[in-house]
Amino acid sequence: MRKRNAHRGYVLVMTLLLLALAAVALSAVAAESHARATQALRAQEQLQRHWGALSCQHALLPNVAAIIEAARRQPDGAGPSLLKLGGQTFVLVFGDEQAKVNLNTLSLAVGTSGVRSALQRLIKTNADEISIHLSPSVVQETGADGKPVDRLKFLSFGQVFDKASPAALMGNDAGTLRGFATNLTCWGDGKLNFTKASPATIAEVASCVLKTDDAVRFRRAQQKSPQLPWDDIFRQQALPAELIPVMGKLMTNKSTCFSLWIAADIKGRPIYQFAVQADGQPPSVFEW
Amino acid sequence: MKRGFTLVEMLAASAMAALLLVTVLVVISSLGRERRAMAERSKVQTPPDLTEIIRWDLVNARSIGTVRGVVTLSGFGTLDPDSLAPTPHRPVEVVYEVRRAAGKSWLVRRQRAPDNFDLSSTELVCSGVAGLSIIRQERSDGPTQDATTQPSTRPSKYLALSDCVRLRVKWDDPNRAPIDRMLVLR
Repeated sequence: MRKRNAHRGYVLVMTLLLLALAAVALSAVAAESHARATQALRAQEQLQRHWGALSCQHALLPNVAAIIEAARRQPDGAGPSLLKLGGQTFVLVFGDEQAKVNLNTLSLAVGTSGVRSALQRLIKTNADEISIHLSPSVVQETGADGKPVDRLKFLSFGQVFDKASPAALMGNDAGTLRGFATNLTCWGDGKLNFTKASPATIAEVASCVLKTDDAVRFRRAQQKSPQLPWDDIFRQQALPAELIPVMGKLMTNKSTCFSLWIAADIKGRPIYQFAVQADGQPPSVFEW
Repeated sequence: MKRGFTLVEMLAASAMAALLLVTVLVVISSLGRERRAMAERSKVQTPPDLTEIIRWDLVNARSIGTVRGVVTLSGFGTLDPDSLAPTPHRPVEVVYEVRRAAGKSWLVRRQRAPDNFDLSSTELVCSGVAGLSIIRQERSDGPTQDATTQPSTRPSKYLALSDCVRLRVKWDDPNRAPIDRMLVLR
């Protein structure tokens, strides 16, 4: 009896020792499980974000023209759209790339310095703030005579703006701040859709061909009758007929290139994707 | 007569209990630290792992080719050389190759920007990589071109990237399961 009492305290010690060992082992397992769970959660978020953006791109990019047209008829149609997909919110901005000034066309017409001035006018902000850095690529194209010619072309906004963030290019989620890309593009066939473009972009492109007064008249006439084709307005305003073929290289009445900005901010990690597609061509995607 | 615990037993028990408590506290604080670190990491716009960095390069690439075991992606996947964060897209050639250094094989990512030498850089992406293959998947006809870091592969001309590619990464360690993933790019 006396011997049993003497060992009784050690049972407690042994129990506590075993408990401590179990706690150490279990805590290691818990830490490992936590790390794996966090990794899995992160992978799941990434996958959801990726598939969400991909779904938006596949479902909406081919229909941007119809979506823009429907939005025009709504009183509050302008600005970004919000889409909930898989519990995540995606901000979408639809763009008609031919309703924007094509920087490559502008570069061909007025040169790189002219592009810089046009950018400052169109963006209407401090040049330092937007940090314009024009570095076009040399691209070989077929000239009018069928021979290859080297041309300077802007292939992405990275060749136009030095440090423009995707948010600055796209505009903010609330739609109160217009993005730099609202009036500018590097894609499409280079022509401006006269019936869809803003007065500022029409003035910018028209002034490459017309005198200032004529360009103003042309822009004002478009504001009065936005649905009329550009050549009808040109004749209606009695603008120099010999300039019609030149203007025909800069203006069109139909858009064939559309874009889609997709933004999602999931748990503090934003994702931006810009997809642009011309008729009959695969989409070009830029991801940040 | 009933006997209580001895002083030694009580001291030992207290020490054990303290150890237990300290262990629990350490675990709790380390979990908190990990969560904070994870949150910080998630704010940085750097592609976090091998698959993600290659996927990002592929999404922003426009064409792919292989010359002497070097996979070359031509497109706009520019990473900032200092932070490895995506920069505004500029034309860039991204090259993946496997090289041996310090007794290990490494997957090396080289970035060459023809119009901006400041953006050119070389990064060790991952160690223990034996080979990388990027196989273009056509929706109807199956794979058409294999861009791989194997030196024996015949050079291939630059081809436009398909919407979907299969990424295969083999490791030096034969016991490590290779990465074999289908990546839908656009």
